[in-house]
Amino acid sequence: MCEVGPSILVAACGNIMASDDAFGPLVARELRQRAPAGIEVTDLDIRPAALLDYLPGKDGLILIDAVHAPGLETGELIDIDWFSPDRPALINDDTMSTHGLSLAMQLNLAKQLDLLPPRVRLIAVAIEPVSVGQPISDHLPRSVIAAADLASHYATLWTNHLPEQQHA
Amino acid sequence: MNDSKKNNESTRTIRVGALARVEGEGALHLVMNGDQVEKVHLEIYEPPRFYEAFLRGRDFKEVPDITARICGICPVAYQMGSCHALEKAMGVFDELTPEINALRDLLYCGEWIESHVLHMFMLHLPDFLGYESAISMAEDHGDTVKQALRIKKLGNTLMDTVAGRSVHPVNVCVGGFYKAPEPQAMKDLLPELDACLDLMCELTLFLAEHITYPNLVRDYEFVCLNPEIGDGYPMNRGGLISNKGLHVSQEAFGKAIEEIHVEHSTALQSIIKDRGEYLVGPLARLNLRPDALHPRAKELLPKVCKLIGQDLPWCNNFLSLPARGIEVVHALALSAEIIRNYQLPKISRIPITPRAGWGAHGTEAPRGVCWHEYETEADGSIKMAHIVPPTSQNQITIESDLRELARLLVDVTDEEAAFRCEHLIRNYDPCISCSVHFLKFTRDWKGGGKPASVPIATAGGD
Repeated sequence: MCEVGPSILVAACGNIMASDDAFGPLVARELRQRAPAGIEVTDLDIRPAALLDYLPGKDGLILIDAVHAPGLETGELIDIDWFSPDRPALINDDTMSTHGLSLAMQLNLAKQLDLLPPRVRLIAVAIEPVSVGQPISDHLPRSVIAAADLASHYATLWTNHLPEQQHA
Repeated sequence: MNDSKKNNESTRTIRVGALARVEGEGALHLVMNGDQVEKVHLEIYEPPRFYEAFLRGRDFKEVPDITARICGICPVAYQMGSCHALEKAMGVFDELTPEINALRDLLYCGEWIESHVLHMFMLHLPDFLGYESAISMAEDHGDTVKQALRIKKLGNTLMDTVAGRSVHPVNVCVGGFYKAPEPQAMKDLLPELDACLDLMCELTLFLAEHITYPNLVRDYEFVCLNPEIGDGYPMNRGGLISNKGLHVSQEAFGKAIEEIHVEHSTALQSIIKDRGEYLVGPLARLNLRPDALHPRAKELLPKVCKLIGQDLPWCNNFLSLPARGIEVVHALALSAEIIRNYQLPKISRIPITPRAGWGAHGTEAPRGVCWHEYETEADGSIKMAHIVPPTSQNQITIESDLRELARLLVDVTDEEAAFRCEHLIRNYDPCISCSVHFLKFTRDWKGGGKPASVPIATAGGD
């Protein structure tokens, strides 16, 4: 009988048609091409409100998104435990949501319902305001690769039950 | 995020920086003079107008995938509207097979289930029960929330199965579906469908019995699709009717309504020509075509009416909550029926030869009629696109509701007034945009009509 390893969910959010808001879907695409074992990659697109459906039974969650974050340079990556007090203040957690059920709300609700994976990590890129129909910035492909590397790194650590270290 | 300030002796501006359970971005501005409402402005910033320009010059085959991204919650509605309208423009609408139509209904059922249950239990029910969010509600009603999540997930699974993806389906095309779903994958859904159908009946009865619904009865003009007898509940097919004499074909709907621009909103507002505001959505569908409900939902309806103490027509939009419950029961029962009858169709899509043409068609998004109109060039590229989303059609009616409600809120604090206005707005499950969302609430008092200085708390959510 095969031993089943931890189940890691990578959930990406963003609009592929709205400039750098495409960050999440592009990272999801990159990760799917790498096809790492033990990782389920889902592209929530512009409906993060579907996140809750994917959480039951997961041992780890890696959220990928583009954010507006005061104090960060455009293109800078955020890589942090979602519940860390050091997580940079976003202008509003709801900027990452649609239809009012933001990622933050869903994670709090999942905690309330005992559906929250024990490990949740946010990997995000700071972006400028975006509009539909505009192309991605020159820097974004580099950020996509870096974010995919990070996601793979954490998934490997978690799958092999290795101690987590803050990635450089 | 709160900001309250006194403008002068008699006028006060209060802002609530978050309406955390409505999609999009908007602001509500009330001007009161004593107990009289001088102005109600619901400001909406809405993106579909950009999409209309964005679509021009694109190949018709790209349209369903592009319009799906107008909204993350109801992509199927935009896909179905664009597909049907373009099939008319290309002259193949009448060739659609019963199998393709059934698969489209099934896909739409998935969206109704997902969208309605999300709205009912995560966004709207907390208002009725006095919780600030689904999170706090879950402390006391965790089992109910979990049951709702189970049904919501089934809606997503239905969309995944029929259309490849639930968020922005990739299997939908003008003419039908790129590939018909495998029968076994469909049949595998039946046990969960049957279980969730029973569960949803129980939950709907619970909502009917245990919720006290605010009483705001209005003389609405309800508008919805009007399928032929035997062609089901309003969803994909039929012309349009109202309870006040509107009876038009899909093609004539664009001429029957008028879109107007107002300074305070980037969204166009719709009225019926020479008459005025109207309401689209679950209450309109239920009031106008209860005869077309699936037998399971039809059986439930009188029980719900009895528990609420109100027979149809329901002219109080706070009753949109149980109306959605009945529609979810309908969608679950219809889904099970379609799947039980499903066999792999001989063709999944009608071949199309591009041509110059024009077509118009609306379908029933969870929140109401979503009407599309396209003109195509001979090579199949889009010459003109025109989309009338449901929330913009409801916008004037929302403002009228708010005007009526505001008169009743003179003696309550601004905090309570903001909460009750937001609750009312959520009756419409408004789909305002797909980006940052918040409602700024402003109530100004003129003529010294109201003493001020009640601090405001964030209106809900995180």
